[in-house]
Amino acid sequence: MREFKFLEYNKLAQLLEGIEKPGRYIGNEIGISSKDLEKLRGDMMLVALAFPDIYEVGMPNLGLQILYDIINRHPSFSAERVFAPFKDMEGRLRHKDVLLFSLENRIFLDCFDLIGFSLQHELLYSNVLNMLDLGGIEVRAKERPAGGPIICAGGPAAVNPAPMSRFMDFMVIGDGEVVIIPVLESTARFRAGIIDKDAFLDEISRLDGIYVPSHYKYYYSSSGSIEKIDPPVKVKKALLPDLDSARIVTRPVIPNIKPVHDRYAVEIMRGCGRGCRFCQAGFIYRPVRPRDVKSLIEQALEGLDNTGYDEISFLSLSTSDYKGLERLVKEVSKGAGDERLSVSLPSMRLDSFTVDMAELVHQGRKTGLTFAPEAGSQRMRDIINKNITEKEIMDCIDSAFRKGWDKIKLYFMIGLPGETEEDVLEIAELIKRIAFRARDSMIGQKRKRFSMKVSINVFNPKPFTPFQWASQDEPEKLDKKFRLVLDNTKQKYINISWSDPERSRIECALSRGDDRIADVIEDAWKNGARFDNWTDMFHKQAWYDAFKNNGVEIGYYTSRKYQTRETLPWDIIDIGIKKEVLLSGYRKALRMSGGLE
Amino acid sequence: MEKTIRFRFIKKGEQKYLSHLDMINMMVRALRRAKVKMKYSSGFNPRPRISFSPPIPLGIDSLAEYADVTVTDPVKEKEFLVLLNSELGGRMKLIGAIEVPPGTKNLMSQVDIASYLIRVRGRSEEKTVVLDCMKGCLKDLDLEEAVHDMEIIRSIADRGNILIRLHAFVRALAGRNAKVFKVRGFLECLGTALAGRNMGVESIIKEELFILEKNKKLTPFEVL
Repeated sequence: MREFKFLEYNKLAQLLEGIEKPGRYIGNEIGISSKDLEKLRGDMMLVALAFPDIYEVGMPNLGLQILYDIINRHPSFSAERVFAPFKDMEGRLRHKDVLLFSLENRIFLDCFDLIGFSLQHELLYSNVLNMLDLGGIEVRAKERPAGGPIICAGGPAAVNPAPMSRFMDFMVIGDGEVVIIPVLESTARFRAGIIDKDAFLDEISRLDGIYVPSHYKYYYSSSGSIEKIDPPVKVKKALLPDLDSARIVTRPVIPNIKPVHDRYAVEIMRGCGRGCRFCQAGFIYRPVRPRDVKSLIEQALEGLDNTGYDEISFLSLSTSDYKGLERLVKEVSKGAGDERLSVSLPSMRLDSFTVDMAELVHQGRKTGLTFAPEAGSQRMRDIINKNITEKEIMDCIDSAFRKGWDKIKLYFMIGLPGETEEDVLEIAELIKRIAFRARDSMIGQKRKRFSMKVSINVFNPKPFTPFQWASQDEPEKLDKKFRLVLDNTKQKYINISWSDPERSRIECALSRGDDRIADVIEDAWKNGARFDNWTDMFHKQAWYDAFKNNGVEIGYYTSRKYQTRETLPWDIIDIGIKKEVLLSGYRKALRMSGGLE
Repeated sequence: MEKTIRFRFIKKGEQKYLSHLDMINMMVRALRRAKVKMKYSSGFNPRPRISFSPPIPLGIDSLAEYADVTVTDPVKEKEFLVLLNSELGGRMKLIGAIEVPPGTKNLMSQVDIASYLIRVRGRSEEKTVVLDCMKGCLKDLDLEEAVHDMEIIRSIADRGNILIRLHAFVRALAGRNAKVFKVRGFLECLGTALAGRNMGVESIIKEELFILEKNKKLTPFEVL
């Protein structure tokens, strides 16, 4: 019988004394389905699903809930969750010399057979290292003993596996639900001593979607570029061809404390057919795979019944494109009866259909509407392939305000390829035109109260997009552009927020990095980098020092245009889209902007 | 067919780390899962008609949380209790439910006193020292007015421990007290004072709530 070391309840109580939001660390939620400690047999494979952000951010993640459900349905596997402890809890754990533990049975991280990290974006990389360290696990794969936990990672920020490769035994590219069970079967054989670790890694590397870093070597030329990645054997992403072959999670874990999205989330479609050239999700999740509306209605209602949620969210990358949307919303609302259900539809397109749907789901209750024109000028919207005209935007605004909405939020991107001062000014102009149009449609008090939020994000060239080769503007240039927008939108009812260019720069370097970036990540973490996506916790100097100490120039990965003929760090991955297709999109955009490769 | 049910529940163990708001959310979702039809407020943002006794600070075990929920359901109190306990799966536990007569005042505004059972690590001959420490803290924190009464409870089973029951005001009552008891601050002070004498607070439990009626302490059930 295998012994699991775990934290006793009274020890937890001592640990939580004075800790902010202790509900983050208590587990015991409705919906947990891990095996009980008593049932964890010697040959049970124990998996930690690790999310490198705080509980409230991680819990609404659909991937986490899906994998948790699949593993725990299996009779010989059990999954527990672990989130990044916030800074006060990290301090407490280190001070009291307590290892990081899972939520369900409070098992210490170093007792798990397999630990899988969900990488939702690059600014969580430092937290991954921190969690491993808090769990008493060496961060470098090659320094870990073969008998310890196997460490892996997946998610959108793993599609370029190079930056995190030195910390991982393997990485999962694509749909994790396809590979999780075969991987755990191999893990069980490895733990039983039937195969050794090398044989285990060989075995799983034959599956689609498994990248084993130790099987590859990056060679660099004297100029610093990648000479080759050896062997030149691409890893094809794991793909779940038919979403309906897997049920949605109808018994999710219901968070104890209020998460960032407090509702029942249902994935209605995976993939997006739009092809906005900056959007990584739009390419890496292809092909477009809608779920059957009829079975979705049944499952959604079952999930609402099981959870008691009063809000449901239909998720996809482009919800307007889901054919059965109206029927889905109507029938689920009807099926829920007088249970006061609210429906949320994120990622809707800017058109009148959206306003009609919003009207339907809000039934008189007018909360905010969110629109993402992304760029100010038609020229720029054409370059990024955001297929929408100003007339459509204005019609949509008109229709929303005519129907009584008075709160809207706009999303723009700045620093896009080929962007000129004129294009930046056009952002300010479009914001004003929308605001004036909205105000004009209002009367009296309502007009006085009118305010509009605008969020401007920095363009980040991402792997597997047509813009993967494009450069990112330097922070100084971005600051100037942002200033230009601000100076031209002085109206006090226009509230503009903006992402930190320095932070975007680090994000860019991490997302387009090669395996030399691993040393930078490790140093930055040692310099104190944590929760880099949090405005008040981003520690610029920790990163700048780390780049400097390793003789790595940030600009090499950010403000440099990657050559279309150079080997890209993520070329070893076959994401399902030919490089020529991306290149042709890039060239089209360049032609429109009058620029050159 | 509309009626209001008052129920008492335990919130301890891991659940003591849930904030008041998170606890409410958990309870409301459990009610929805149990298919108990709650009455909702009207307006654009309908909320179920449910109100709770005053919030307990994070991290303190409670045997005496109360809530009033208005239902449009012929559900019997006993059935209500079983249904809800099954949905809560032992996380919080209902230990009583009574129908509230129409016109009964809101629970939040009605409750006056909370009773806390404080267990101090120390020998029984030191009980006067403990009492002195407690009085000192109340004085330092200007909370003397916030306490209705306190007493040492003898208990043979609790050798090595001193048990104190403290009745404290959870709201300011006109003409009687101007202060509301602050559990956290008091415990912190007491802990420090006792530490100097090699003693310490072992545990604290909120064991009951009372409503003052003609100088008599009545529980939220007794008052009905």
